[in-house]
Amino acid sequence: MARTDPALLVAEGIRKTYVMGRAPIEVLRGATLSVRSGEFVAIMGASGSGKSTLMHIIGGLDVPDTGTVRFDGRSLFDLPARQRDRHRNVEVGFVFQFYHLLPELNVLENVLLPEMVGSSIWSWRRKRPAARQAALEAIERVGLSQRITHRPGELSGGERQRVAIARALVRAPRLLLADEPTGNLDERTGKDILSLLMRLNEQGQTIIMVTHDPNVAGLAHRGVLLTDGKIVDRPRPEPGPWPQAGGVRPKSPGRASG
Amino acid sequence: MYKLFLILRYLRKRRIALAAVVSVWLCVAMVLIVISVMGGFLDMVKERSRGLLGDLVVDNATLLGFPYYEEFIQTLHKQMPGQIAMATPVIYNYGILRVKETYTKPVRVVAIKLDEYKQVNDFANSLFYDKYYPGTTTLAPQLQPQLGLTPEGTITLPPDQQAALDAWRSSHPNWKDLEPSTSRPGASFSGPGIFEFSLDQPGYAGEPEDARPGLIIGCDLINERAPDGSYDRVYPRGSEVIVTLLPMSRSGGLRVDNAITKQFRYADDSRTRVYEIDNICVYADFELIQELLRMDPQQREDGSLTSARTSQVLIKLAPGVDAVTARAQVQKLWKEFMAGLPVDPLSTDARLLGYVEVETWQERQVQFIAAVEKEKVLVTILFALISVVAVVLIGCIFYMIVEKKTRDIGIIKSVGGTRSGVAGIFIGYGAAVGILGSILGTITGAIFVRYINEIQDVLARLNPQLLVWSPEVYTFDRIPNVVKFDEAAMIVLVAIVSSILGALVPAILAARIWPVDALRYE
Repeated sequence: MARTDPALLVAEGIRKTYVMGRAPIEVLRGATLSVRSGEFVAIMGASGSGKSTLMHIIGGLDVPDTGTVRFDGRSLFDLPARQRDRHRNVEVGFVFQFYHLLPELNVLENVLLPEMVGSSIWSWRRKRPAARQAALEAIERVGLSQRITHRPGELSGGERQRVAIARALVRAPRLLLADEPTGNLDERTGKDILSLLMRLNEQGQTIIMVTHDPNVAGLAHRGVLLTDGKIVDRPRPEPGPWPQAGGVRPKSPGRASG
Repeated sequence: MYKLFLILRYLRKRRIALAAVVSVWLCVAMVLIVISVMGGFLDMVKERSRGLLGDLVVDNATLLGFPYYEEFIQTLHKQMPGQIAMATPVIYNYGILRVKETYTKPVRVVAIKLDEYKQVNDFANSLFYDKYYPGTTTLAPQLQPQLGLTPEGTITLPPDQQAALDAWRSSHPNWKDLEPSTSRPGASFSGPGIFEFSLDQPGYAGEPEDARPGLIIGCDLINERAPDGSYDRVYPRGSEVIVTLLPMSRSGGLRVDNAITKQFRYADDSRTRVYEIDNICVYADFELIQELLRMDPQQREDGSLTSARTSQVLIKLAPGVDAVTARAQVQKLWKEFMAGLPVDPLSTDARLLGYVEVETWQERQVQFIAAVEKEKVLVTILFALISVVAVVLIGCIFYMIVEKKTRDIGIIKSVGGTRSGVAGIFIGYGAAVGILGSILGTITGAIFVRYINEIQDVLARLNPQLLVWSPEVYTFDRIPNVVKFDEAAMIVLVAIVSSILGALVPAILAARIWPVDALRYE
């Protein structure tokens, strides 16, 4: 009998141990998290609590020692490596604290990268016009249409993060993972990025954001705390003096996935 | 798609990759130059050996020569009809050349039947005057041609020589480009070479009794070679030259007071491009030298005549005849022929005949050719080893690139790049470095090889110490300058494979980098 799982993503019993020198450090000790489609979840925790590790595992970038991650009912770590790579290419978009753009590529090329990774040299000729259009639309969504030929070195921190968000969105992934997206930005630029994320969420984008800042976490539908390697549900903190998308607070979670 | 895109982008943007391209470039150019020059040298040795000898050589390796060669040549034509295109006797001996009383040199006297000799090998192509004045070179007695004034006041050669030159020019519309400019300053005659001049009508100097047999002289013996490889002709055509010969008795005895001095006329000069030949050989009429050296029929004590002797018989095979098979046939034929000769087994003639061997032109030069072939292989191995250094260098450069691009590898993997895809970027990058480097190297090497003589000439003009290719050392007066397509293609292939090998280990390392570690890489 087929199991039904209403959640888009379910991580259960995630354990992960790093070995630093000779000392094993157990970062995650059975962390469990469930995220529904359209939800905006903030994972909070102190530095070194394993937030980024959990996000990497959820996104299929890292592998847990034990535990499972199911995405839309499929067990991520039962997939062959190539299918997991494909999953990262199609279903997940990553936004990192330090942007992680390729310095040799301009804005448009950086945003096109996931499309290129997902295409063979033979299919690219056919896909290119649509991919370019999708990239231009993603760049427009983050408000950088005038900067498509600029390289990362010619952009400000906030602009780079917008490019990273556009890259994460270009293949219309069902899950956007943002690791401290405002951690490396000044306050005003951080506000802009958060507004952008909230707007995307309003448009139906499922977002999991890692942050250590309660004010930032307050903008999400749901905040969870990672402490002692486990997830603890927490009431959403009151948002700080952050601007909100369209002047409204995030809507309630549970929007049906498409 | 991203692999190709990133390869091209990295190639344009990463300056360190240029170091890898340059190392491949230099290695390919270096190996191509070495292989082309060495290979060209080898080919020239083979070609000239064949061109100077003919297909088969019959001789007994002594200056005394061997008798009954005329009968053997007749037997060859009779027993191997259709296989022998030409067979001609040649006598080798040594003498002293004297020109204008002040210039003397030891020479190797080669006695030939000119018309037959031209058909056996490429000797005809080595002659200077015979090229521009076809049909005027002869070893028969001759007078010195002189330039003179026509009634119209123009300076021309004797009618037969002028007609030969005019005929050559009319058959070569671009003759002005083909003719070397005369080296004598202020010369008013525009034809190639140097001629005596008189204010009389053009013609031949002297009386009929002044006629002297013609002598073809090695180009480096009679002319002065300029640093740029051209020749300055010093002596006018038809100048009197003297050759002193020392005839040997049939039993090998040599008496200095038997020395024979003979006057000749400088009929032409021969440039085979083999310095060791052009610097020592003079060519005279076969019958004349045979007589002077007393290798013609001599009267025995009993009144009978000995058989004439020759040093060699050169054989030109008919087109399509295999030299090795023909050699075996000729050798067999020689043994049968020798067995039927009326020769006392204890006589000198029998010993001279017993030493006769038949060899192909390759067998004749086998030691020299094998040595050059070995040299080519050794030099190629040496430079291949040097190229291994380039592979290691590429490996190091790519390792540095991978180190520098570790975070990029994490980014690519975070957007779905596979391990094989990441490895493919660096392997493709290596291949691109190899392709680019080998294209540049091939172009550079080919241009260098093509103009290697001109480059050397310029260097030699700047400083004679920079003359690398000395004809005294390397036999040929010019550096081989032909690049073979198959050799160039093989070098390019090896360069590309080597570049890929150099990039392989760093590529595998890149593929193994865990994406999370790569993203955290500082």
